[in-house]
Amino acid sequence: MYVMKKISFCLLLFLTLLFYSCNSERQKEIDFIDNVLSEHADLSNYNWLVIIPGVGCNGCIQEGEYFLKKHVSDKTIGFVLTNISSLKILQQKTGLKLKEHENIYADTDNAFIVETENSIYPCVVEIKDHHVASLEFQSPQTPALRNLEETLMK
Amino acid sequence: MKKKLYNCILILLCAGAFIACKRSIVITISNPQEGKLHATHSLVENGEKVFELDSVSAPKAVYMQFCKIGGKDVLSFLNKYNSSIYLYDYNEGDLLGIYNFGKDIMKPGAYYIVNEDSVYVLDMAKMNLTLFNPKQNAQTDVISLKGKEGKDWPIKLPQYNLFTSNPIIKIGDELIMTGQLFWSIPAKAIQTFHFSANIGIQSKKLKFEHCYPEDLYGNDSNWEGGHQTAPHATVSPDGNLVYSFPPSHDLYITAPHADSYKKVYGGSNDAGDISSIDYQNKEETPKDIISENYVMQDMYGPIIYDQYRSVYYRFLLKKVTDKQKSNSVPDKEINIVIMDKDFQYLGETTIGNGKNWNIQNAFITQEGLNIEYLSPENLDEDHMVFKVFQLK
Repeated sequence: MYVMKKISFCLLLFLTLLFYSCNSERQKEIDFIDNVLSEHADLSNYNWLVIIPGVGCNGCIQEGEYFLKKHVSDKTIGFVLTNISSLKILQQKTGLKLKEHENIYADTDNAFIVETENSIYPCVVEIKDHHVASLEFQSPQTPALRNLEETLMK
Repeated sequence: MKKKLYNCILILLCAGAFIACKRSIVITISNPQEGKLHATHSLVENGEKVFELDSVSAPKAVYMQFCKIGGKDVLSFLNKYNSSIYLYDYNEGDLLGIYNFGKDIMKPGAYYIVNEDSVYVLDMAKMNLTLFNPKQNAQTDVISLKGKEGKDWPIKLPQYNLFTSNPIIKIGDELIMTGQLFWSIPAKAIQTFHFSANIGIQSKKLKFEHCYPEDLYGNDSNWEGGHQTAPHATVSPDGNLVYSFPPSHDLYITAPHADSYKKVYGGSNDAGDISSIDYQNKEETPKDIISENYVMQDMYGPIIYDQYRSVYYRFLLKKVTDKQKSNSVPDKEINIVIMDKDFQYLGETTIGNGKNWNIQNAFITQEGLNIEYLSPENLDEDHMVFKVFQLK
């Protein structure tokens, strides 16, 4: 009985610490984007921000570019292109003239690159009252863009 | 009472292990010549070269080579988007031709043009070196870079991040590619991991050579991130390899098949101490700590030998002193240290930061040191621009 209690206690402690660890990483990302948004006030007017890096997980970025092409006319979404190697090639790939779309922001200063392991994935940011309410990354494990599409269709 | 005490100790141990970032063995490399060197030479910007780009190519090409083809000075670059090499007349700026790899090469990362019939291309996806014949538009040979290793080759063999100023090198009948480990060097691998691949052009034999210097990367020191473990190489006039390791003020010289280095001073008058990352659990090192270690310290970059003027140029990416979150690698100011052929210090010149200069695309011509200039006016990306620096 005492051994069981000890194991349960250790497990609980481990899970608490794990939760704290994951949560602190996500909170760090939210605080980071929130801070960058405060310097880009016009972008905080959208309901959603989709941040697409130019370098990172190839398949995930391709999904981001496809999403951009499909939803560029949705004015509730702002698109941030960061860590871009070439806007010209990106225009070739998407077939979009970026200057013609007000909701596309080219982050040439790379201000939106989060300093965590997730910087290689596109990021979906939910904005409420000009602040980040939540965020999720489009990675092989987390289909953030599909989730956003489903939310938009509701 | 005993149970309570046991639980308290357990909590303290777990919390301690979780919260505390235990101190690792930190290697600090001092610059014995900081502030003591006297400059007699500098680099002066003198002219530019402009190359007009088509609708599917962009500046900051991932790889370039300056060479002579058919008596012409040719500047070539790799276009990853359409898997091609573009060739320009360096003096006139005209496009001479395009070598298209089609589907033969999945992901070109670097190349070496031997002549009009033979181009060696590094295929990053297949991890091989393909001999491509542009005239026949066909691959004629393939050399695997995976050696005899199995699926775990990426942790046993080098991976390659080659660019114009850290190129595929040809010495005699051999091609040399300087690779790296993209994380810290485990103590057990410091004397066994070889970062350089040597490929016999005729024999097709592949050999891995040259270990990381123990004084820089030993003791299980934390150099996570990939930047700090990237050796850069050039060839000395007597056919030796000269390695520039990012954290070292020294240069490491070796022959292609030798297994030891001769160390010479090759540092900057401006560079200070450089330390490894102070974080014990290397694999778990947070990205911001890795980034801070590289951005907030002086770090050396490529080294290039100028055969026309018999001098070396070594790039230093200076530490960023303003502790802002947005500071990144392009914020680092760039110094070019000039040394004579015997590595005696001649001077150094600051050219600006990485937002305006792409030092990965730097090469030597008779005119001087060419460095790609990233003009803020070039918004349409329809030109590739190089500034030419001359030694004064």
